[in-house]
Amino acid sequence: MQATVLQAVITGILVGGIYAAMAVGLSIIFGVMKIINIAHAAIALLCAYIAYTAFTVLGLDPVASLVLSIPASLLIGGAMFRVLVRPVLGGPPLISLLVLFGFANFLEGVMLIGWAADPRSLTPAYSASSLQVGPVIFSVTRLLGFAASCLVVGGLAVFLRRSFTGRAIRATMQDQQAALLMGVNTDRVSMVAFLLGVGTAAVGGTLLGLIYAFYPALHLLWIGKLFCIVVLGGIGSVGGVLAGATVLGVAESLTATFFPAVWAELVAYVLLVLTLWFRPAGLFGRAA
Amino acid sequence: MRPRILFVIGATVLAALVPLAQPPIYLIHLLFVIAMYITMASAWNLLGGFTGYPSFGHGAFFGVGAYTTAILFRDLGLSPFLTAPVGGLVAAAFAAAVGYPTLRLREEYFAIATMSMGFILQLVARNWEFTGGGLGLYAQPPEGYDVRTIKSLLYLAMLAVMLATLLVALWIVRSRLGFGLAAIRDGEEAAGTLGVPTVRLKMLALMLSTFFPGAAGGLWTYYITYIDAEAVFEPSISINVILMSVLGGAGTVLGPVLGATLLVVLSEVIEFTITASVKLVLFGAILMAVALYLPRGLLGWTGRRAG
Repeated sequence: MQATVLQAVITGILVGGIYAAMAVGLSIIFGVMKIINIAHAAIALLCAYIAYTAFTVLGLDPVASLVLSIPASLLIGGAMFRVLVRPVLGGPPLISLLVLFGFANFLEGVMLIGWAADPRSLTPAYSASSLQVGPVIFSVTRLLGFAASCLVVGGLAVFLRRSFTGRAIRATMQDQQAALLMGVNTDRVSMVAFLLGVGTAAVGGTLLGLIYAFYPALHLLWIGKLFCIVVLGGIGSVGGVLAGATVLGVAESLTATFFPAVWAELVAYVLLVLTLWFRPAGLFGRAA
Repeated sequence: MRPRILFVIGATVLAALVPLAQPPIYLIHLLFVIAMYITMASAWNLLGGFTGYPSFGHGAFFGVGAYTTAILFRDLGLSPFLTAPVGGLVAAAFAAAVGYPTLRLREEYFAIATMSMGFILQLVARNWEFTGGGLGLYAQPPEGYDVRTIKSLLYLAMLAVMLATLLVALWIVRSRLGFGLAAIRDGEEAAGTLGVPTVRLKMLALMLSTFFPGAAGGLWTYYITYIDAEAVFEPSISINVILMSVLGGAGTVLGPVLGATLLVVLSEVIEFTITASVKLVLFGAILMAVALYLPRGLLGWTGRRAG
């Protein structure tokens, strides 16, 4: 019993780390531009499909395929920012939501045409191997995903804290007007934040694809999970995203251990609605 | 009476006379689907267009209504004409559970909470014994009637739901509720400080906006006689509904009518000539283009606004 719980908690932490790589971008984009990138999970999912094709056609390792999918996501993100996002910034939320929802559906349609509706999975040689440490089993893909994800989220945290651009991003998150008055080019900062966001989504999507099978409509489920994480952690902080992602990962893993696995997919939604109901500023956030 | 009310009632009566001419059954089917989508697009518009809080999962409420009547038929054998409104009520109850915590926050919260909702409900319906699991549910129409009579009767019932939705929309734009909703859309904080009970009005609009799709789903169950999670919680229903409303003119009464008619016909053409997966790409692209370049839609563009 204790070993089962321990196993579930550790699995949950590993998966939560991967969630964090996807959710951190959503949080930064919201923090800087005050828009929720509803197409975030669709971009992440597209990158999992790019990894799938790179693996099946070129025999490229899914993690190595990030050298293809990250630039692809940056291209999409750059075009998206110029054509779809920048024109609607500061306008009514209805318009930006509709535009991004249209884009999410557009990408889903592209994935349907490109890869059909049946589930795909990434199966490199190590996908079934695991390491045993005492009573706990670590699957190699989860460990790998967790490590890669920690690199990305950690690197992003350092970038935001230390670099000039990172400070400009944080300043814009705190107060856009004041940042503008201090000489921050907030338009450029928005662009950089958006690209960072979709770039990290590419990493998260590919890593999650390494663990679970995926199909085009899945972005609808993923975006709910990501939003749940961002809301749990309080919008706009990397630490909050890590905490929220860990909570969700562990809660899902425990649910899947003791109930039929499908109910685990409901956990994020229930957590989201309950958090918004009782603590809309997030479990770890300050009052809005 | 005002011209728009006359137009709506007159057009509905004309549409109701069509089955008398013994047209091909396909035509009745097409008109049924158009009436169904007019209902859903107009209902979406009550909250999304009039108030500016877009639901990205309106298909979910359709599915809830469809399952409600299927379950009531299976367990109690009740007629669809009785249970379709019950489907609407159950859909509105689901909406309340999601809307109560999210409608008091920014638009984005409500939008995402509804976006994942259909997917989750699909998952539950597919895996839960009570909802028939992967096998789905049947709803047999009463015996002794031929297909044409039954389809025609259900078509008339769908027209009645559609007419009710449109009359509610026409009433709302001239009512205190409608002015309150428009005030929320144009500046929620200002509306609140002027004494508009914003949360209560949004909840009321949400209930109305989800009741009618639930009722439409209830009739759909009988019309199609067999439902499963893949079909009634199909995610593309949600983007169809939104695009219809926004293309025709979100916030206008007749915009969703125009949008639904245009897009149902376009969908039929695409599915016959190309393939269904192209539709998602195309509809996604049209939604982006309309939101960016024609945000007031085809009817709104002529300069008329809600209210």
